[in-house]
Amino acid sequence: MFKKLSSIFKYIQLKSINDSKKNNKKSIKIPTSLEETKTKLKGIFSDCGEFVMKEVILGNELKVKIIVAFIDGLTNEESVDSNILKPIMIESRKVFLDNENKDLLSIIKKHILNSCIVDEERDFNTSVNMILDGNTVLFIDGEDTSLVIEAKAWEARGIEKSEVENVVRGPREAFTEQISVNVSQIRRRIKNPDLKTEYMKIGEKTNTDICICYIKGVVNKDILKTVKRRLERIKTDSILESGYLEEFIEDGPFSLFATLGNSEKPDIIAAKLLEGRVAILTDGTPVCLTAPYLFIESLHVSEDYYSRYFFSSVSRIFRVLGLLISAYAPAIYVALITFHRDIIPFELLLTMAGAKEGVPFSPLVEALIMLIAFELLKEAGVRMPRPVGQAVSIVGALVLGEAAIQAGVASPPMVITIAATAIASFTVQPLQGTIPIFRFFMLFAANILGFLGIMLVTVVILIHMCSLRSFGVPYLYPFSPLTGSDLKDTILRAPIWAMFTRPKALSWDGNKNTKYKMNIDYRKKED
Amino acid sequence: MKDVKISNIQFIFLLVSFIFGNSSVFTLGSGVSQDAWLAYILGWIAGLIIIGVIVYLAKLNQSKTLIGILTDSLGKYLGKSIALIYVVYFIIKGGWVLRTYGEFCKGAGYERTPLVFIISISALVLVYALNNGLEVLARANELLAPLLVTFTLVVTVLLIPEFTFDNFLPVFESSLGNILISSSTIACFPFGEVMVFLMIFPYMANEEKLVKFTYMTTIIIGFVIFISILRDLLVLGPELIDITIFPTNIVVGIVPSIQIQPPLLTAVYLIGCGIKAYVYVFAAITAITEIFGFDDYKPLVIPVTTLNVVIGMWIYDNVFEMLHSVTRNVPYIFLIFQFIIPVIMLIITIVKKQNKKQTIS
Repeated sequence: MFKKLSSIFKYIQLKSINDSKKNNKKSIKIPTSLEETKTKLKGIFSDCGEFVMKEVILGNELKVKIIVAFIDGLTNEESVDSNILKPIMIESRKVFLDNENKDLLSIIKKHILNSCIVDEERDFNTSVNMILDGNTVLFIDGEDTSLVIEAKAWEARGIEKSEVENVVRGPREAFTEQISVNVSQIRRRIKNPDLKTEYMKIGEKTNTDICICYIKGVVNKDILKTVKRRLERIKTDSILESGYLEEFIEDGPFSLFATLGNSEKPDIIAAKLLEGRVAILTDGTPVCLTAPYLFIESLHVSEDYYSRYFFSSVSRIFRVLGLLISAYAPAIYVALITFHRDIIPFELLLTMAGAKEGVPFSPLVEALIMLIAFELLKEAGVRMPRPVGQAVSIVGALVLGEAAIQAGVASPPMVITIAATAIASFTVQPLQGTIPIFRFFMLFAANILGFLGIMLVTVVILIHMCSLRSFGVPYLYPFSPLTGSDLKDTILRAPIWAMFTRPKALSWDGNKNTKYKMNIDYRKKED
Repeated sequence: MKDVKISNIQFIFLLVSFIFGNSSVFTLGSGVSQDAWLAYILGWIAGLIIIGVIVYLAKLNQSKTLIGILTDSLGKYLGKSIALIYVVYFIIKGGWVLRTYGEFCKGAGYERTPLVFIISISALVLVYALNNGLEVLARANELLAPLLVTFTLVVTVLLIPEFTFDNFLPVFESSLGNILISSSTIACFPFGEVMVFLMIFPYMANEEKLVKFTYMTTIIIGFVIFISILRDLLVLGPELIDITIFPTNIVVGIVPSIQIQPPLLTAVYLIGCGIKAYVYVFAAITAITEIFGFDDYKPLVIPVTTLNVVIGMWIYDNVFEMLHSVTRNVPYIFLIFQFIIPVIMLIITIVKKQNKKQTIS
């Protein structure tokens, strides 16, 4: 199965960009005769009830026929009425026409229309796409160029508080589903012309807008080029969420670790852009991707930078502790009980033996039962409708806690261990999906070889993490390869006034910035 | 393979793990009771001389592996046949490292787990690491090696209250001959083993500085090993050191107020022994690829590691034989590989370079 998957993956990777370029649709010219345009549009938009095509006549002495095409519901109809139809039909009478200047397009564009964004378009297919985007398009009789006027408006959710990434201190607003609003939220934070936004469309059926954001001069050109190349390579029907993109462009498709970050808060994205990362915004979802994503970022929270540095350092240490406990606690418990009883203090061993009396299962089975119950509870807690919530918590607390012990399914020390694991696992949110799987691996290894087994699994995971790269940057970056100056913002956070260099592996450029040159370029370029 | 780069720190840590490796399992020089420390110092100095030869040889032949040096100085056929013998030596050494680790685990709380099982599970991890390449291992080791050294030093510091300084006395209890024999063992193992790094040096990013880094690391890690020998001697006393198979096991159990037990040691020493076995297997595999001119070493990983496991199982009948061979026997045969052949190679290289100079001038 893996072989087949990896062969598909390799095919996608090696498929050259020329291939995708070849498949680009040929451009079709806009017919000069209006009747032809009309039948073509009717053919394309047949059975589309929302499509509106209105034929109007220019008000002045030229009496040119014009087709106004847009989609109802994506357009602000008031603005179409007052900014497009009214000027063309009524106010154009006031426009004085020279006999020499017969360039109809520029007259309409410069003298008649009073919308601020008006573009000329020569390609018919692009014009159709523009209509689908929510623009209003004018087709003029006798011209092979259409005018695209932006009058988009549709019902959307307003900017709201983030539900997932909660902070005590710091901005609360989150992204929305509209890409233009999201970009504006970033732009409001970084008021600099160096903040570049490049738009592209991905998805043959959905034509989803994607925006690549970066700060010119800070971002590393190789990383940016890699991101663009990988995005251009995507050939798919639909992009409904940034998760679709993530699976297409991530580095380790078979790895349990995410090599692309995601966030739905503009302040986090702005901070990552300023570090030299690239952000990929997708229309239709509030979740924005950032690349490259390093392991240490999963231990960071935006609030770390907003509260004072020793408090945030302490909370980061606790987060690391939480990560270790949630990954290792059940395995260490099983290893202690099955292999290394002599490490447990004698008094504790006595009470533990007393508690375990009457439990018919081995520690491994006991741990598995409790862990699976916990994972089920977690999943139910996320999916269930709100009103049922209480029922689940009662079942979770009473049945699995109290009754399991009384019925002799699990011993109290085991319940304590699993409870500690559960609480600790919530401290590191981005690794929520990864840790449980490792926990099960560790558990089996501990049951087979005790501490040695745990160590072997740890070494394998470490080697795997070291072999990972995110867009050319080593995944465990500031630790391995060890880079002293970048350790300032890892487990401990240095005061902000002391952090005056950007992460080297992200923003270091071979040519300039020779003062802070690394002795080796750790990044790998893609060819 | 050519784009593999090991940074300075990674190289230092790799050497640290390698030298510390399975020498941490034994108490070196335990054959001469309380004079172990003396034998160790003598062996250390001798080891530095051996390393000097190796490093000088590597410096003269930059960006060339051991195989390249052999074929360049001895000709294609003789060089390659000696290189093949070296491959056998690497494989045997790799199997031996696995065996010592397996025996150590058995002695440290895994009495009922079969030796084959421990060795082959460790070898599986080895295969995974080998498939990921040297650079990845060097980076993983960068995180693991500090753990190894810190653990040893912390245990030593915690044991200070248990030290009995009378254990040194009487000095020179054993004869000078015995001390010299013991020290020559130490010169071969662990210091002479650095010879394998002739296969690793070309991957260094700053190869010009290899002399400095190798010496620095050898002195630092030599000192750590020296401390651990002193610790074992001062805590256990000369008699116990001679009798017990793995004195570290017992020493760690004594640590007051913290319950560190031998099983934890097996987890920590996995790092050193694993890296050492890795370096040996890697050297063997890359040597084979270079001798026969293969493109990729990956197909060789599983066969060679399997061979290592088999040799590891077959090399000794029991623990005592292993212990005897390590601490009380001069491994003359290893000295040929670690010292004599490099010296010959060094002389040939120097002579060739001078000839070249003369012909140019």
